[in-house]
This record gives sequence, C-alpha cells and structure tokens, in this order.
Amino acid sequence: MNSTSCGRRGFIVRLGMIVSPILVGLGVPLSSITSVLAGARSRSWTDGSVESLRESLGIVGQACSQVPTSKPSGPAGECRSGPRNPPSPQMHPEDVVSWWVEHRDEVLFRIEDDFEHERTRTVNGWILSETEAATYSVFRNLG
Amino acid sequence: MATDGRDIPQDTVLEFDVCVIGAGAAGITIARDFSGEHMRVGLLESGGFHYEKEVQKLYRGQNTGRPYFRLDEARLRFFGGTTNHWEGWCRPLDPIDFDQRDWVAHSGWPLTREELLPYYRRAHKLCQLGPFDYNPENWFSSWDGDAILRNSLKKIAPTVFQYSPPTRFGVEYRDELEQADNVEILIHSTVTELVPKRGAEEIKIARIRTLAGNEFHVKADHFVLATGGIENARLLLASNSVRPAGLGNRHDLVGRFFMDHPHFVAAALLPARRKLRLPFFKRREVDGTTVEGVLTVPPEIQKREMLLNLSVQLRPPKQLANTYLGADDGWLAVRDVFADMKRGNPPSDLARHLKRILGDLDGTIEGAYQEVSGSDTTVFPLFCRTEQCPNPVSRVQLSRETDALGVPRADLHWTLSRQDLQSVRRGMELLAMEMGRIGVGRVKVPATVDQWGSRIEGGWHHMGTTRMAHDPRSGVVDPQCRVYGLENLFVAGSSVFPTSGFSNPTLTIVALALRLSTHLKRLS
Repeated sequence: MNSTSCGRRGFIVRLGMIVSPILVGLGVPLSSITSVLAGARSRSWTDGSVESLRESLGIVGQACSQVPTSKPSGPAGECRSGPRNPPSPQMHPEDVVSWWVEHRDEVLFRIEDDFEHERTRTVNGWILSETEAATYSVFRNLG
Repeated sequence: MATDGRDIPQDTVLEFDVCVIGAGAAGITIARDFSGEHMRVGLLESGGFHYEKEVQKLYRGQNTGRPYFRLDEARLRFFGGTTNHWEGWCRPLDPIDFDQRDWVAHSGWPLTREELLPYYRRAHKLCQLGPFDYNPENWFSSWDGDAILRNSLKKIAPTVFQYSPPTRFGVEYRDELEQADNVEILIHSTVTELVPKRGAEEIKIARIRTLAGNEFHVKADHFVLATGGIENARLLLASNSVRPAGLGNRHDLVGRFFMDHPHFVAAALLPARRKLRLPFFKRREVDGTTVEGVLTVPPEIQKREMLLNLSVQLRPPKQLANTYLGADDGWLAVRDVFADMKRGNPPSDLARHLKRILGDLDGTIEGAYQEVSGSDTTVFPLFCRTEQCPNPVSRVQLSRETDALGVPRADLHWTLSRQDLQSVRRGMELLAMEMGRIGVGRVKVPATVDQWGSRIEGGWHHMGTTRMAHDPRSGVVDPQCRVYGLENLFVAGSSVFPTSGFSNPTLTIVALALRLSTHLKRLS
C-alpha cells in the first residue's frame, strides 16, 4: 500500500542522522527529528491509480462505469439488495478480503450509487464514496 | 492620419465630435466603427506605436490587497493596448452571468445576453474567430476518447473556448484607421484630467500632457474613456480639480468592485486508468478555428447549489508529490516563500513561514526529497478559472505617489471573499462526484480552502471598477455606459462589467464597444 514511502525511508534516516545534532543544537524540538527517524509516514493510499484501489477491493478488471449484473431494480438508491454495511475495521484481514470478493458486485454498485447520491467522505483530501472511505479505513489498518 | 502629441504646440485646443481616450481593444473598436462616418473622431493613445519603457512606467502602481502582479506588467501602454500580449481566449458570457442571482450580492446586469448577441457576432469578426458557436458537440464531433464526458455528465458540463490568432488590434487595424479621413490618431498623448464645466453636467475639455513636457487640450461633443479596468477608475478619481471626489463618484462607487478571474490549481484528478486520454481538453484546430474544451457547472446546478460560475481544465500530468496537494505544511511553506520571490516580492510573513517549516521539519525534508526524486503517483492538476463575487472592498484607489506626468498612481486592493473560495470548493466536490460516478478517477482537494492561499492568481482581467447599473446608487455608468451625472462622458471596457462570469473579457469588451459606438452614432 505504501510503496512510495519505502524507498525514501533510508534516505531520510541517513539525512536525519547527519543533521539532527545540528538541529538539536539550534533548538529544534527533538520530537520533530525523531518522527523523521522513525521512518517516513504513510500518506499514499494507492500505488498511483484508482485501479490499484479497485484491485485492493477485489474488483479487478471491472470499470467503475460498468453497470454490475447484480444491480438491483427500481430507482437507484431506494431499493438495494447489496450489503448494508461495509466491513468494519475490527474484522480480521482475511475476512475482509473474502468479504470483498463475495460482495464485489454490490460494492461496485454502492460506489457508483454513493457518488450519484452524494454520499461521499473526504479522506486525506481524497473525495471517496462512503463505501470506499470505509474500505480505506479498513485497509489502512491492515497496513 | 496619425499625429505625435509631442509635436503639438503648447496650449493648442483640438476639437472632435467624439474623443476616444485609449487605443486598446475597446478604443480601436469604437474609432474603427466610426470610420467613414461624417463625425470627426480623435483617438488618443498615451504610448506610441511600439513599446516604450518610459511610457510603460506610467502604469506603475501599488498592490495593497492580496498578492497581485506588478501593475506595469499586467497591461500594456501603447497602440493596441493590452491586446499586444493577449493570449486570445474568447468566449461570450453565459446568460446566467447577466442575471440577478439571489445568492450573489450586487449581481445582475441592466441588459441581457440576448441584447448583446448581435454585437457578440460582430465582435467575433473583429477578433478573427470562427463561427459564433460554443456548442461543444459541434466542435468535437470526433471526440475519440471522450465519449464518457460527452454522454454521462450531469452536474458538470463541457463547453468550449475559441482562440483568436490572437488579434493584435494595434497592428491589425492601424492602417485602416490611419487611412480613415475622419479619424485622427494622437500618439504620445496622455490624458491627465477630464475637466467638467462648473455647474453643468458635461465634460468641457480633456487635459493632455506628454513626456516631452508640452500640454494641450481636446474639446469634444462626446468623450469615451477606454483606458482599461484600472485606469478608467484612476482617471475618473484623478479628475478632481472641480469635483473633489472625482467624476461620477457621487456615491463613492468609482474604483470599487474590482474583480479578476481567480486562476489556480484547485484540486487534482487521480485517473482510473494509467493512460487517461481526454483529448477534449487539448487545444485543436477545427476548420480553421482553434478551440479547446473546459468543464463548467451548468446554470441549473449553479442555482441549486448557489455557486458562482466556474471552469475547470485538466493540466498535463504531474506527480502528486510535486503539487501542493501532495505536500506537507513545512514544504508548502518553503514553496510559498519561493513563490513570493519568483514574483519579485520579498517573502511575505517570513516569520510565520519559518515557524511552519521548523514545526514540520519531517514534512519539509520529505517534500524536498520528493521534489528531487519524484514519486509514482501521477495526477492531473485541475486548473480553475472562476468568477468572483462583486465586492465593494476590492477596489482601485489613488496612491499618494504620482507618475511622471503628475497623476496619482493606482493603488489596487484586490480582495477575495470566503464565498468565492467556498464556491470553488463545492464545484470541486461536484466534479469529484461526477468523475467517481463515471469512472474517470478520484479527486483530491486541499484540507481547507486556505491552502489555496497565495496560489490564487489573477488573469490580468481588470473588471468592475465603473460598474453598469440601472440607478446611480448602484453603479457608475447607466445601461448605455454613460457616466451618471455627466451627459457627454461614456466608459468602454471591462470596468463596466457588474459581474464577470468565468469567460475571458476581451470578446465582451469588443461587443460592448460596438454597442456603445452604435449608441453614439444615434446621439449624433
């Protein structure tokens, strides 16, 4: 999940070891320096495309614009047979993955439907559907 | 015929039927429209036929509001005016831009787009554009990769800009004007004051000075002020020898309501496919006309959401880490300091920036590292050009400093309101939902609108300072662009715009100039 942070970690640690005595001497809070030395923080939630998000949801190969065959009939958002709740952060990682695989069509529908009906949440600045936002928190815990 | 003002003897009085002050897009359009008529027209230009440093310095002024461009770089003072560095973007204002909108204070033009339509069509020819057609379907019939944009959008809509070659009005129309028997071009002739008759509601003379030191005067039945969105206000305010508050300023409106089109990267699009192709956003030539697509918010959604008008364009892909959206506050502070320096200004609020840098040292180091190394998250910056609310606090005033001809310099206090920024934010949310719904990708916005901060620039579009209105308590000029309280003084240019839409102003400036010259011909 955090491929961008792995490569720079060594560099920042080395840099920190060199400059930290100087910075401490200048009165910079030690906490700032140790947070650098502890390793680069996680910021990236995919490796660079929405595809990778979908891959991590277990919906490989399906375009978001594609209407899933299991889409329930009736007005969008009113009659849904899909999962009512996304997996919770407390679920075991293996259960989460199997949950996604099992519910992939319903999840895909919910993502489209979420955007259609403005059920969105902003996570780290990314405007995601409610379903994705919940997924994000789950996978962040996995990482 | 062209005369150099520096050769005119001291205290000469020249007489014309119509005196047009300023030879930019508006002034040249009006003078040209009178070509071949029975009325004598004087077209006064402060500069010469080419750029001159000393003349350009007359444009120097100060910025006391949010960061803005140097005033002597944001416009040009020679024959052809600012069209000499115009990029050529053209699009008429939308019908909704003319409406009185409950959610936009001081909105509403005293004319409709319908009334302006015939002049827009004529303006198209002057700006050397293609057919008057802004329906994207008619221009992008062969959108190969864009069917998804064309067929699926609901809360946002595609539209197009056309591009002028661009027309350099001074170059393109100089010969025609010089050959016109009834038009006299006066170069190096700077109007320093318009002097009204005492006790009467009309301009008696225009006082003209040159950098060579001579002074002369022009009398005319009608004067048209066409010196640009900042200078129109400056000259009205500086014409204060008879009326201390300046001309047309009985209600303290001259110079107020200054608007520009905020330009900035408001968000970023992470594409669903690694190789996202959206040729809609690429500038292309269709049957000899250059066009380019942008996205906008349809009027019904603007009404429902109470938004200002807005356009969005995809910029070439960039690594997220190299946009401010992917950086931490410490690194953003470094970039803010560099941005100030790049504009030629000393870093503003340096102590605060240093505190941000030291308070987020890991973010600063990481940002610097990513700047050098790059990362693999590629996004498309979403570049916005937006409308801003008419705001009386945003204004042009006179500075205490004077220029080489003794005229007080302009003091520009450009201000944006919270509503301006929140409107863009909501527009980005709507765009994000549409991009998610149709599967194009996901959008990232800054945590708060304050993060846009100094990244917001203007477009060198100076508008609103002599706004048009139905009554003198709401505007400086009437619906025919006549200055309230002065029978023979008219204003041409974007300073009369009550609101700005998001379209670049030149096409509307030319259309309004044609409308004004038609009106003046009727009066004569």
